[in-house]
Formats: sequence, structure tokens, C-alpha cells
Amino acid sequence: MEVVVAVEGVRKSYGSIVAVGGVTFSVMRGEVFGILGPNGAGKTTTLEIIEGLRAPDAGRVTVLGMPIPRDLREVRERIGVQLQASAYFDFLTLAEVLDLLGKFYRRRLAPKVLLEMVGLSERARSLVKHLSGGQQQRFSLAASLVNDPELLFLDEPTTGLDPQARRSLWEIVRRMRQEGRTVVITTHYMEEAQALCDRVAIMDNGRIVALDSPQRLIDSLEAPFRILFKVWPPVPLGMLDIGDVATAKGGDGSYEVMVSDVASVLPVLLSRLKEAGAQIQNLQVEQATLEDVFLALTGKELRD
Amino acid sequence: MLALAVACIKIMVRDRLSLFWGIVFPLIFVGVFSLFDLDRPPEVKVALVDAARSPFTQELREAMASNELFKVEEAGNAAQALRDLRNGDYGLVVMLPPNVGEEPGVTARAYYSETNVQVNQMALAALRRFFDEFNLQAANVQPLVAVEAQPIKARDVGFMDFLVPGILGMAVMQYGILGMATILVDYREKRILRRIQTTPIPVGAFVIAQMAAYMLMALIQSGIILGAGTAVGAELPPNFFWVFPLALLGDVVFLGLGVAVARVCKTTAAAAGMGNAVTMPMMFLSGVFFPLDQLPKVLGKVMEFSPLALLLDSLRSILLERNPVSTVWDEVALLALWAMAVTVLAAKSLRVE
Repeated sequence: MEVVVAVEGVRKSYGSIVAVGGVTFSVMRGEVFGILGPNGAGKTTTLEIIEGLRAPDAGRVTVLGMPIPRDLREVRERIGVQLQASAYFDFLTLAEVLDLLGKFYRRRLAPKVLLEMVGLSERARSLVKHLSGGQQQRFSLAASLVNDPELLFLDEPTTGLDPQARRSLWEIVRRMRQEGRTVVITTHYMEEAQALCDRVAIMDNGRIVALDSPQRLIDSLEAPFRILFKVWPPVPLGMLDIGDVATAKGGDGSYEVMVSDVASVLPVLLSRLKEAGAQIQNLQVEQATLEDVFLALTGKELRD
Repeated sequence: MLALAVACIKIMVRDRLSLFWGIVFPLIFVGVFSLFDLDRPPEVKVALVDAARSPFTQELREAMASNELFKVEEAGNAAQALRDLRNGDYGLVVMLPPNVGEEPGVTARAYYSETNVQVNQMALAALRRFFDEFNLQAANVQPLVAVEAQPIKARDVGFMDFLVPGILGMAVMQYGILGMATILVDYREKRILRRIQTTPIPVGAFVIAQMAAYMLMALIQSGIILGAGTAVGAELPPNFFWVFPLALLGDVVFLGLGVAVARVCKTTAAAAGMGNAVTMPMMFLSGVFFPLDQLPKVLGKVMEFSPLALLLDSLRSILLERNPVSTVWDEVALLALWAMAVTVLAAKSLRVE
């Protein structure tokens, strides 16, 4: 497997605030690599250091085998960058913006092709400011593809989008991967990381606290399953203290139990509920999420 | 690079508001000023209080009425005439004593209102001259020496000839400084500069393309304003085309200043405010509307070296004084110095975020 991005011991501080406190990781060719973390975890700073937009205080970055910032110009020919919350020229049409950006590169795709890739062919002659939020993000993605890049950096591409727009963007990212492009994406949505990424680096306070595939991260949890149920009448929490139950919370008839082994816990739980005369109104067994991983690693909730 | 400049021009042409400030606004100035007939001095309304009512005063009144500077009205009541003067109905009240014309050395009094600044100096001077001439005539004395005004230039120089280069310089300056500053801050706010930084093209190249677009617009501005000027009575010399390279040189200074203004401003509104703080004083103190020698001496001397004043000097030397371009090399050299200094400043003050 070929390493396309190598980050070694990168640090960056602003005054006394440590934005990135020494991170090391590699991105392999062809994967979708996620950097997941809450706002202020240092995701964007890390990305901007890789892109050569910021100089790190310490550490080394290599992109496509070329050191940054020495070979930045050559690297920029071959990478695509979508910035967080970046706009485009107010008075140019979509096709004109793509045409202009394309002229900055040796290798380029036609605006028509790009707009087709993101489903905006109809809007070629619209101004960027007349697009909806989701369309703007899709356009921004098209703009990052003008040079047909082999490596793509997306900084929180779905922040602020409704679920439908988010899903349509995910589809495009999956297609990028199928086309053989490597994608590095930051997000603070755990379901996005779970749905899209081959591997995820979880960041908190400028550090990577875990790095693996979403499934392996979840499997590494002490209690990787969640049992949710509603009963009437309510039962005391103490009743849920069964051997393989890691945590139990809830009350008033609604409960959430994290368990390491569903097969051993479920029969015991069901029989205890029956003994207590509690009627089961709802029962769900789910896999734990990256949210649980984040909580287990940092003791904090990921959501804003 | 060319593609960038073309895109910048497209954006500028489609940005109606900034186009208004760059082109229509100066045209409005030219239009409004052309409505005033500033070449002819204004008439002064004079109330004549004639206590003598003699053939002599009759003659004097007629002579005064035939003078194109004065619009003479006879006022019977001196107190009423002074009240009207205070109210601004008259520019001057002239009181002729009863014994005027009968004996020499009689003094006629001219009253003027100190609040009416515009009229006073000119009206009083004209009145004195009128009485001098009238005395000589009445005494039948041939003046020993007469002055006949003889313009040095072979043609009539009107106020528009003075104003059009001023408006042209003003327009290029405002569009250059304000336009450049606001567009750069806008692109920085929208992270467009950041986005360009992620491509192989340096941000500096983008700024240079933007400058090139503004310079092309400066040429268009100059052409339009010169055209409008001639339409309202300004006359162009055969070598007027020198205006274009001069405007370009001045624009380099203004655009560089725009980049410097953009550095210290976070929002486009701040950039517009700060831009005005630079352009307004320069506009009023560099001789757009009034000659610099009407300023306090020290200030005038200092402002002579402002880029706008240097540009206007060279423009007027060619357009107004009809000099060959070789007479403006001093101004051109100073402007070039400005351009170099400001370019260095701009290069240092370009900020992507």
C-alpha cells in the first residue's frame, strides 16, 4: 500500500493556545480517511498544514511523496482542496468559475464534466450566490476537482446541510473513491465518518486519541452493543446489573444499557423483566457508534 | 494571468454598484458643474439710497445700472434697505449723501453684510473700480495709464477646462483605492484568496491581474470623462492622449494604496470607510475643485506632493495649459517614485487571511 500523505509529529500553537499538539498518521492511496472531532479539536489546522496553507511549528509533512512546503507547487497541481465555508466570485457563473480555476492547472477537466459529476449541469449559467446551501457545497466539491486530482481534501463539507443534501454529498464522495481518488475528510458528525470512511482518526484537544477503521474502533470498546428498551411499569436501575452490562442509565420506563455480550445479557434481562411484571413496549439492540468511542476515550460527548 | 484579468473585468462590469461609483458618479459631477455658469461672475444686487436726487446722481445711477456686475434698485428708505441687506435681499447698499456731486471729497457709504462671504470681496472691489472710473469720467480727465486685460493664452479657458482633469483624477483615484480595498477585503472575507492559494497560482498573481483589470477600467474612465467634458464645453489639445499613460501611472499608486488599506480592514464596510478616509482629504486638498494655492501655504506645499496633486498637475499642464508632455517629466518622476514605494508597501501588506 502506497502512503500518499505522511504526517509526523506536527505541532502548531497560536500564542499559548495549542491547536495541534503533535500528530502523526499516514493516509493510504485509494482510501477515504476521516478526521473526526468536535469543533476546536485541531482538525482544520491539521488539514491546512498538510495543504501547505499554514507552516507547522514542528514536524514533517509529505504529500504524494513530496515534502511540504518544498514541493508545494507541484503538489498543488495534483491535489484538490475544498475549504471550510469558502465562497466564490459573486458575479461569475458556475461554468465561468470552473473554467477560470481550471486555467490555473496543467491538467484540467471541462466545466461541463465537473458539473455533471456533482449533478449541477442545469445550473451551469447560474451565479454561485443563487445556489442553495447543498448546491453550493456540491459546487465547491466540483471546484476542488477541476484539476482531476488524485488526492482530495474536504474540510467539513456537510456542516450545516440537511440530511438529504448530506447524503447526496456522501454519494459523490463514494464515487470519488471508486474512481480511485484518495479522500481526506474532516467532520464533526460521527455518522458521517462511520458511513464514509475506511479509517478514522479521532481528534480531541489537538491530539489523535484513536485511529482505525470505524468498525475496529467500535469493536475495541469494552461494551460495543447498546440495548434500548421501554417498559411499563418502570423498573429500578439496580435490576439491570447483569454480568456483561458495562453501563446502564435511564428511568421512568426508558432505559439504555451498554453491553459487551448481547447473547449472555439479553435472556437474563428478558426473564428479569418478566418476573417484575414489566410489559415490554419497545426493544432495540444496536451496535455502538463512534460517538460511544469518543465518549469512552475522552469522557466527553462529541455533539455540539 | 490573462484569463484571470478577463475574469476580473467580467466581475467588475457585472458589479453595477461599483461601476456606478467608478463611472456614473464622476459623470454626475461633470454634469452638475456644467449647469453652473462659473465662468461669468455672479451679479450683485445693489440698493441705491439717493439722498441728493440730482442730475448728477441720475447719471451715476444710470452708469451703474449699465455695468453688467450690478443690478441696481433704488431704495427710498435707508433703514429698510439695511434691513433687507441683513436678510440677504441685497448684496450691497450704497448711500449717496445729499451734497454728492456738488462739492469734491464727498463720501458715499457702501454697506455690506459680513455673512455674505462670496459677494463681498468681488463686489466691493468692483464698486471701488466703478467709482474710480466714474470720477475720472465726471471730472473729464483722461487717465494717464489705462489697463487693458490681455489674456496670454490665445483661447478662452473655462472652468470646465480646469475641472475635467480634476474629475478625471478624482474618479481614477476613488475607483482605484476604494475599489481595490473593498474587493480585496471581500475576497479575503469569502476566503476566495485562501482558495486561490490552494492552486498552483500565487495569490500575488491574482492581485496583479486584478490591478490590470482596474487599470483597463481607468483607461475607460478617462476616455468617458474626457468625452463628457468635451460635450459640456471643455476643449482638448491635440496631445490629449498623454492623459491615458498618466492616468495609468497614477492608478498604480492608487491601487497599491488600496492593497494597503485592505490590510488593516477586516470587513468590506471598514474598507469602504477607511478608503474614504484616505480619498476624501486627498480629493479636497489636492486641487480637484480649487487650485492648490488657495490652501494655507504650508498645507498647499505639502499636498503638492500627494499622488493625486501630482497627477492633476501633469494632466492640467497638458489639457489646460496646453504644454507639451516634456514639461511634466518632474511630476511623472515623482509619481513613479510614489508608484515604486507603494508597490513595495502593497507587496508587504497583502494578506490572505
